[in-house]
Amino acid sequence: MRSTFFHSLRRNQDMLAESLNLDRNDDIVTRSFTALGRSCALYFVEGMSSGQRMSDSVLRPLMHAREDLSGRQALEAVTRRLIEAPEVKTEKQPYAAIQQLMRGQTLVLIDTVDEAVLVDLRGYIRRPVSIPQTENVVIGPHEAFTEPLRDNLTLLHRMLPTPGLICKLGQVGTHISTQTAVCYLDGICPQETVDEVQRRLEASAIDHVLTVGELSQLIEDDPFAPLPQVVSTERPDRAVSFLLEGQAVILIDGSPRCLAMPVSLWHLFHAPDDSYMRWMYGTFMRVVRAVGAVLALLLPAVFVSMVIFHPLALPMSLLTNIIQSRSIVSISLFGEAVLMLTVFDLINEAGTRIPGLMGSSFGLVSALILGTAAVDAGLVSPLLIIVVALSGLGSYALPNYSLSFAFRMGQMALLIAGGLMGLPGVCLLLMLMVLRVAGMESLGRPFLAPASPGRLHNPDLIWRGPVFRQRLRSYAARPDNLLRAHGRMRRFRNKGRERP
Amino acid sequence: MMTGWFRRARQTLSTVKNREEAQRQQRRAACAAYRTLGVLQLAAQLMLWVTLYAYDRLVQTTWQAALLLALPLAGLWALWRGGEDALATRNGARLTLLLLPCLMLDAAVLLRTLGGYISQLIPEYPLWACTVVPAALCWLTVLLSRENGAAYGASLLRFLLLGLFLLATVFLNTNAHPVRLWPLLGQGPGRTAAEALAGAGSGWGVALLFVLPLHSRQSAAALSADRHAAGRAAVWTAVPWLMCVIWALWYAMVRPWRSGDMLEVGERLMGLARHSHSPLLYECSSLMWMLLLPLALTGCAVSGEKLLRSTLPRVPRSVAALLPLLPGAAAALIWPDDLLGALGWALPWRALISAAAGGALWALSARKGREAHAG
Amino acid sequence: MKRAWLLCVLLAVGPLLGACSYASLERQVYPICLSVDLDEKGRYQVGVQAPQSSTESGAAAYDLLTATGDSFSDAMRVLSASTPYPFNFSQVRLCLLSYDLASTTHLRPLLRTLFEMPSMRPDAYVMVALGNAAEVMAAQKPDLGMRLSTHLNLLFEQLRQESMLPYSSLSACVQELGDGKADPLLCICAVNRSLVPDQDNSGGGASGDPPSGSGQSGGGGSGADAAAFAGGEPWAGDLLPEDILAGLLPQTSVNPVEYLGSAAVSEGRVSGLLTARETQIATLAMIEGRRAVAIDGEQLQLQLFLPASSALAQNRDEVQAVLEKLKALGCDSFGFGWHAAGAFYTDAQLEAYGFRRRFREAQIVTAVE
Repeated sequence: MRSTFFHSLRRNQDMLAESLNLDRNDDIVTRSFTALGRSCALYFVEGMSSGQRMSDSVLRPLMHAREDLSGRQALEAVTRRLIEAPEVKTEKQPYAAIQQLMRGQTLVLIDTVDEAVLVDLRGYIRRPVSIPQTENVVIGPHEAFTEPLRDNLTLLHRMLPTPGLICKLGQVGTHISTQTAVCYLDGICPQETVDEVQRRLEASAIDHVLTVGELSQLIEDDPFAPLPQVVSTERPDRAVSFLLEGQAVILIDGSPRCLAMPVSLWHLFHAPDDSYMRWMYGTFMRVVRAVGAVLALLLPAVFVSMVIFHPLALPMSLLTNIIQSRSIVSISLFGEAVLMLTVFDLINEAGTRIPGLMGSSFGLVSALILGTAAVDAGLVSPLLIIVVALSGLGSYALPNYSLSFAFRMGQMALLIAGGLMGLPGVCLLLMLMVLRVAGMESLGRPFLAPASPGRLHNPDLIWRGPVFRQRLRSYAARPDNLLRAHGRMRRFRNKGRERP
Repeated sequence: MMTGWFRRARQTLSTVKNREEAQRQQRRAACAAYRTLGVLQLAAQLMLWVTLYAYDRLVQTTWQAALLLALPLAGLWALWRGGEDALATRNGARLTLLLLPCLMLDAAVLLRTLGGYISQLIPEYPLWACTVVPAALCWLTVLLSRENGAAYGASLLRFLLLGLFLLATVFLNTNAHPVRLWPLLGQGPGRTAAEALAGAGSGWGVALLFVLPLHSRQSAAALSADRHAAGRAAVWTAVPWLMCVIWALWYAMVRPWRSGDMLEVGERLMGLARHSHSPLLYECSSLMWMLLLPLALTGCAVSGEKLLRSTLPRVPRSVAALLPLLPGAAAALIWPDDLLGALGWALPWRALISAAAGGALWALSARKGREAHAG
Repeated sequence: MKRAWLLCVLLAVGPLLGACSYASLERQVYPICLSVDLDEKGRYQVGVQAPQSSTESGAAAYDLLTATGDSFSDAMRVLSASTPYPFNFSQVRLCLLSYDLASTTHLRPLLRTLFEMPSMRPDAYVMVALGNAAEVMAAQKPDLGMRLSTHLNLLFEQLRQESMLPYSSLSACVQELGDGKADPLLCICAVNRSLVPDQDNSGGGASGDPPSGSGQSGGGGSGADAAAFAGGEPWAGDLLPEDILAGLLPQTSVNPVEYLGSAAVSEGRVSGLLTARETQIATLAMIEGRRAVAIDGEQLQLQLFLPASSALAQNRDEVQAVLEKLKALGCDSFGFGWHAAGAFYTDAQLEAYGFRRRFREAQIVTAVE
């Protein structure tokens, strides 16, 4: 394709007809008309532009213009006087113009003008802002991102009405590009972070990126690591909290989630609710979540290894109950545990995929099969069902979807280690996992920071301190702008001083 | 200073105000993490020295021999204080190769101990499996944890291990009584000092973790300018030494077995915990060893990996991490029964090798200091 | 590089998979009690009491398995060979040794062997059974519908709180016998014959009746006679629980086995018995009293200082009597040997002094401070 448009409308039309496959593609509408004494052509993708606004803002003013202009004068008249739309720009490169056309812009070509006029008259069907599907909260905003990038950026601007919120638009995808936006707060986010994010995005040599999930695998430090090194969230309030902490947020057109980086393990562990409740409630919930995480990861493995290899610490009454409950089970405890965890994951997956109409009967069927029939048939013991159920609940208590998957995979690995080699096996594999996670990095920053290596930080890891004690931004923020507040935050308590 | 600390605790003041200060803080935190790994490694070696070697020979005066270890550990501290600049040079890194045999010996002790302990816990497993599996997993851990994962992970687990250590000693709920420390001199101070010599080399393989250049030469110089570095270095040596003294003290006060009893490695490691009144505390002791020993073994592999790559950069990371583990694993597989006995005469030589390497490093450091002063 | 990774994984996983041949939980036997006797020919008779895995009524039931051998190890091998499942001793609560066995020099090595058995629970109680240990073990029945292990745990805990049970766990006994500077007190137990139906109750020991003439112990059979306890004096007067030994309590319950009194150990063997009261005094004095040893040349003085707030301060004479009795039996359960070590600087000096030799002639002084 040429790098610039022709002056001749006919030649431009021929070029576009070939590029847009107009002989086969019925979705692109072409409208030829006369304006300013010149032949003009208007292109748009059916359904992506508002017909009414096109008529009112572009066609009527142009067609009613009586001047006879050409070249640069015609272009200036069209862009400055005639077209009544808030966003009008010109584009010299045909490829870029086509990209914009395919994103919903309206393209106008004028004879004797070697630039295309792009008018933003987008009016395609959009899903309204709805409640989050995977990150529910009791207290707090109930808005979620949607698919259009522009709407998502609007949500961020609404929550952060400051000129410091910088949104750098770009594209990713070598064959079919997708629009991206890298957002950060100027003065808080280090320039190195922004540059590194930009560099990784530009270095992604893939033909097309559909969702943030694919994008995250292209830009994160270690895609083979057990845990994600970026946080994916569908909540604008959470994205804003990341921005305020000095992190960069990446949005992609067509995906209702955003990515934030650099992050740490603690970001995966925190829920939005923690910030909206009183600090003691938030702390309590985090402790409960921590207990759930430990149960999810370790309970099946420790139970199996203790019962098989180390019964010394078990009371005889419990041991007898286990023996009695297993007296009719035909498979080994280890095999039983593996089977139960596999079936649990199967039910989990089936529950996610099953159509909504059948969802109500699904729980009943699985409960009947597992809760009663399997026990009566001597396939599993009741105690192990409780163990598996507890560990499953623990994994559901984790707010991050990816983290809960990682814990379930780790749970199975630890179970295998414990079943084969007892507590030594569990400890060895746990040590490997912990050190593996400790060695991970997110955008070059240690994944377990600020706990290890130590950094000065807010009381906001497991223990959530009151908001007026959280004076520091995260370690990801600019070092010369770490303090959020100087002096007291609760100044109504100031004695003998002027009250604000 | 107190006001500043308090204000930082209340977070009305941050010491980090610019990028240089932030980088300095990051380097200091990374160094602290490596030192934590070194502390755990050192503590493991000292505790094993008490359990496998010193208690059988000294019984109630084991804690006195542990106190005497303050002298060689002070040498370690002096090396860290004065030797960082010297070791940032290529000559310095090559001199630390002298410590490689100590590192291998450390790994051999740990592997034999781990293998024997796992074999004790799970008698169904053959001894060779109990040795090969931890060695392989520790090596895998070093590779998978990237550059600093072992140190950061050790830093994360430090309080857990400290808590388990206290549960395995002070809070073990055993029949420990100070009267068992008498007669105070035991077999005589000469014997105590002679046996302490074998423990004097326990810590020098760890020295590598503290002195290997983590970053560029400039950053190493920036670290040594810190006026609190002397105090912090003392803490890193004092903590494992204190742990060793407490461990030996509890052994002397409980007297878990008679001197001369033929016990397996696993029975020795759990000797103290078997006298606990609570089975739960017994399991906590087991947990302590099962976390501490593999972590210390991983520290050995990390030390060897960083040592070899600083002197021979072309050596692949996987090979460099394997080198400290291989001799110990081979010896533990081929001569499991003789290895512990051989350690009895090898340990004093480790002390001499360590002293020689430490002296050479110290001399190099002094020469560098004189050159800097003259320049 | 990928093949190297695969090799590493196989190296790590292979031995695991190849070595998983453990016995599953329900295919092991978990004894609650273990008994060791010596028969007339000097052979060892070993017995275990283990719960049944499942019963028709759902109530706990226990099986008694015994075997005989020339040595303890032989007997254990015979026992293992005659049982379909391997033994796991991690739930043992009680090790019963017959009085005849415990009063021989086999006691110390037997306790060490028990302690070193794989999976043996180190905090299991060691008790001396007055009579046949296997019979005493078989007679045990848990009260109030409990499991036997729970029953023993709770009963021992209660007796310990009342200081009527010295802490004679397996680990403590091995520790003290190994050091040689102190001697343990072992609990004793016996069957109350009046509670056992169709038993020969000759020679006294019936519920509520003091034993006549010979003062037979509650064990019957070839158990210790009256000379082994209470200084040879027959029982007289009111029978309070503190004044008697196990097996003579005037009570009725489901469990006929009683755990009162203690056996003094000297030079690695049981040398005599203490009544429940004497055991209580000794145990309380060990907890509350401060011990000291004064060495003046050849004269050895063993001192016990009782706090004024202690209940024993008003019963100094009883305390003195107990100490004298223990001294006569050669049992240093108070650990004066340890305190004597404090008077010497080296092990050689302590050995040369010969505390054990001088213990029986030492002067005992009790005082209130």
